[in-house]
Amino acid sequence: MTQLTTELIVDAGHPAVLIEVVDAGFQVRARGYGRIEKSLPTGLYTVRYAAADAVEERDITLRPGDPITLQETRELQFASAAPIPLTRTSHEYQQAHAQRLSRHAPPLERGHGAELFVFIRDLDVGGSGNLAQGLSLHRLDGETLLRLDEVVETSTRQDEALWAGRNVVLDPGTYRLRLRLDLDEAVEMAIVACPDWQSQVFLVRPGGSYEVAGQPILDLPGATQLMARPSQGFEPSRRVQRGRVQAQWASEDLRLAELARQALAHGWRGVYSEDLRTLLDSKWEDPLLGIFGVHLLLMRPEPDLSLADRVVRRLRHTILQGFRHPDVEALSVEIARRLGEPLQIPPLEAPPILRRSWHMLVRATADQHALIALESFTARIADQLWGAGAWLIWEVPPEVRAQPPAGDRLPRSIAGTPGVEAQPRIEEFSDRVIIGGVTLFKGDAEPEEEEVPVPEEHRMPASERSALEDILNTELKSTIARLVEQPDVARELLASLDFSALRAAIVSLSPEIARLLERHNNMESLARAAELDEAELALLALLVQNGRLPPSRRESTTSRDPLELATLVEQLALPADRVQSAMAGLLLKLLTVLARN
Amino acid sequence: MEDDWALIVGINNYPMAGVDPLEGAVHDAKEFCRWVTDPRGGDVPNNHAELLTSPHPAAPGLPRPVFSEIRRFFESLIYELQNTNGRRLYLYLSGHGISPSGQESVRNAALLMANARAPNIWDSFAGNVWAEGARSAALFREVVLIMDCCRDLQNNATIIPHMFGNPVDDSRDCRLIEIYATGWASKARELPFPPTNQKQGVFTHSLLEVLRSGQVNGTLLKASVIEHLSCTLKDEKKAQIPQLSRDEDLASVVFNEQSDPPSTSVTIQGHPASSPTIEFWPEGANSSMPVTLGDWTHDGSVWRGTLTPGQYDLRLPGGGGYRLKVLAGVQKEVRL
Repeated sequence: MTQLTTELIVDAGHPAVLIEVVDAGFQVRARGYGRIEKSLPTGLYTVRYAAADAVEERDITLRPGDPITLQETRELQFASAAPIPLTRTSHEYQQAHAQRLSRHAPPLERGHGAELFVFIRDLDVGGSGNLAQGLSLHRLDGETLLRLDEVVETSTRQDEALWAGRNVVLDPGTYRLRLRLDLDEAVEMAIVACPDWQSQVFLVRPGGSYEVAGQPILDLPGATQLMARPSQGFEPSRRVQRGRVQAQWASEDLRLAELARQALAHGWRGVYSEDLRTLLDSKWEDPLLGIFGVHLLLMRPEPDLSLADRVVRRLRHTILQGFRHPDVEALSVEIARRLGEPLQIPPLEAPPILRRSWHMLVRATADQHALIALESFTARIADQLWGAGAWLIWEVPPEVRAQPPAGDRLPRSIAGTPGVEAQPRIEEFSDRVIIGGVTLFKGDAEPEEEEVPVPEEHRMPASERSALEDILNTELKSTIARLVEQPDVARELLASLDFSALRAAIVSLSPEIARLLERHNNMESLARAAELDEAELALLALLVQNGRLPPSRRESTTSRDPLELATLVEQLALPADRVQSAMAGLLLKLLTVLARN
Repeated sequence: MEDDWALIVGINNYPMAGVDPLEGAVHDAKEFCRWVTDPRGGDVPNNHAELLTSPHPAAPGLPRPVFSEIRRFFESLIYELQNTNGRRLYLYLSGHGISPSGQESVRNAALLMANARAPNIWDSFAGNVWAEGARSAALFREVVLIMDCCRDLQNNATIIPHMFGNPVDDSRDCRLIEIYATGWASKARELPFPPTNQKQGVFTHSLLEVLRSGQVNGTLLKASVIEHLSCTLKDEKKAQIPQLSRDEDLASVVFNEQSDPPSTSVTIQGHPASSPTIEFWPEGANSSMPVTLGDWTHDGSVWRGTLTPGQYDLRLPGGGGYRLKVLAGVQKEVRL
C-alpha cells in the first residue's frame, strides 16, 4: 500500500536551536538546526526543540493533504555561565555587576593593550567562601601574574547569590587561567588577550556532584568566554535580539555565541546552513563568534571551504589586525589541508582555546613537525588534556626536566654527531650501520678516530652484557644495545634520530620485544618493568596490534600504514614531535629492560 | 544467539583503594548476567558469558577480580573466534569508576579493578577503549558497552590499550553502542529497592526494568531508560543523567529478539466517558484507527489496561485530546 506523505516545515526562529521530529515509534525522522523542511508519512509526531540543555516539545499530527508550518520563536531558557538574559541561570543583579565591573570599575594594570574580564558566580543564594579561591592567572612560562581571590570585588549582600569579578589590563598574548583543585593538582585553560579587545571569562560554582574532596569547585569545562571592545564591556541588555537572528545583529548576540560554544562541546554540527552563511558573510566583528562559526562550518558534511577561508582571512587581517590567535592559526592550517594546499606557518608557542582547534593543530604536525615544537609549552600539555567540553583544558604539566648535559665524549662505537638533517633511513655496511646519519660500528670493528673510553660507572657488568649479547643476536641490534651502557648519551642520540630511523630500529627489534612480552606475560607487566609512560605504552600497543609483535593474529585489512607518522599522530592524538619522542623513549626503555634481562 | 558473547563484571569491595565499598554492584552484575543469558532476553549461550564478581560478602585474600582475568577472557574469546566475527558482544561493568585523564579523557570511562591501590596504582579497565577496539577490529558486528560506574576524575590512571589489533575496513559496518549510567566527572548512585531493600545501581535497575519488558529497539530503550531513571529519582535532590549513543546508532539494534513487544501498563484517572477512546495512526495511513481495549478494566474511578509502546491520541468527550506517549517498562499514569 502506498504511504501518504505530508509536508512539514519547522522554523525555530533561531539558527542554533536543534529541531528533531520524532515519530510514534520514538525514531528521529528529521533533524536540523534553526529550520527544517521535510515530507514525512502521515501519522503522530513530536517536534522537539533543544538549545544547549533546554528542551521543549510539541505534539503534531500529520494528516493527508494538510501540510503543517510551525513558525514560532523558541526562547529556550538554557543554562550559561554568563548572566545572559533569557537563560535559566541569570540573575539581574549579577548582570548589572558584571556590566559595571567590565566597563566602569578601574581595571587592574598588569600590562597594556588588551583586557581580561573574569566574573565568577554562584547560582543560588546561601553560598560561602571566596568564589575565586584557587583561581590564578599566569604567563605562558608559568610566572604568576595575579591570584584572583586577592583582587576581585565580591558581593556583600546576604540575599544575593555570590558573585566576584575583576577587569585586568594585560599585554596582548596568551595566558594560562589556572584552577587549583587541591594541593597537588591544578587544571588550566588558555585565555587569549587580543589587542584592543576585552576577553571575558564567566565561571559558575555549580556545587552538586561537581566537587573535589567534598568541596564544590568552579566548573571550568562549562566556562563561557566572550569578547567585546574594551569600551563596550559586558553588555547583556543591548546585545540580545529576540526572534530570528538578523545578519547585522549576529555578532552582538551573546546567546548565539554561547549556543555555538555549547554546540561545539556536544559535537553538534552547528546551525542551519543558510543562517550560518549569512552570519559568516555579514558584518560581524566578534573574533570568537567568527572562530565558533568556522568550526561549526567545518563540521558540516561538505563545508564551503572558500567561505571558511574568507572568514579566517578576515579574522586574521581585519578583525585581529595581524595578531596571531592560536585558534585562527589552527583553522587556517585545517582549511589549507582540506584544500590540499598545506600551509607552512611559524611554530605556535601557545595552545588554542578550543579542543577542536587543538586536534587540528596536532593533525597538522604530521606534515609540519615544528608547528608544535617538542620543548614548547603546547607540546608539554599534549598528554595532560583534561575534561569534557569545548575548551582545551589540561592538567598543569610537570616542569620541564633539566636536559641531560650534552656529552662531550661519545661512547667508543659512535662516531659523528647527528645533524638536524639526519637521513631517515638505515644503511648497513660490513663494518658499520648508519641510522639516521649516525654511524654505529658493528661488533669488534673500531672507528678510526681515537677511542673514547666508557666511564667505569656506566659500564654494564660482564654477565649482563653477555646475556644481552645472547638476546640481541644480530649485529645491528647488538650495536644499538651498546647504547644502553650510557643512557644519557643514548637518550640524546635517540632524540636526535628522525622518525623513520626510530621506526626502522624499533621494528627490527620486534622479535626481542616479542620475547620480552612473553616473559612478562602481558603488556601491562612489561610497561611497569620498563616504566613506560602513557604515550609509550600506547605506542607499544600499536606495535602489537599491527602485527609487528604477537599476540595479534588478526590480519589488518586497512589500506593505511599503521606505523606511518600521520597515522600515529591521529591514533595517539599527540603532536608529531611528541610521537617521535615517545618512540625514542620506548626504544630506550625496552633496550634497558632487555639489558636487565 | 550462537555467536553472541558477554563479559559481566561487578565489584563491591576495594580494600586497598581507600574508597567506600559498594553494596549493589555484584548484585547488579548477577542480575544482568541472568538477563543476558535468558533465551528471551539477551540469549547469550551460558558458555559464552563470563561473570566476574568480587566476593560478597567481602572475604579475606587477594582482592579480585583483577585486570588479568579480563585479559584472559578476551584471549580465550579471540581463540574461540579464530578469524571469524562474532555477532554481538555485551560488556557490562559495575563498580567504582573513574575518568582517567590523558589524550582522550573526554570519552574515557574506566572501571576500577578490585586491586586498585591508593594513591597511585589505579588498576582499571577502560571499557570504552576496549569496546571500541573490538568494534574497530571487526571482532564483533555489534558491541554493547554498559557501564554503571561513577566517572569521577582521577589522575595517574594509565589506560591499558586493547589487544584486538588495528582498525580494519570491515569495521565500517560494525557498531558500538555506548550506555553510561552518568556523564563525565559525575557520580552514579545506588539505592535500596523494594521488596527486599537490596541496594542496586539506580541505572542498572532502570535498564533491567526496560530490558525485561520485551522486544525493544535501541531508540525505544534509550527513551524508556531515561524516563524510568527520571521517575525513579524524582524525589532525589541530585539528578543522574545517563549517556547513551546517538539515536542513529541505536535505531537498528534490537534487544530481546525472541520476545514479544512490551505491554506497558497504563492508567487513566478522571476520564468522564463510559469508556476511553484511544487512537493510533498507522504510518502513512489515511486516518487514525481506534485501539481495541478488550483487556481494559474500570474500578469506578480509574481505567486500567496495557498498550504497546508508541504514541496515541486519547480522545476526550466534547472534543480535544491528550497525546499518550507510552514507553517500555515505564508505567504510564494519566490524570485528566
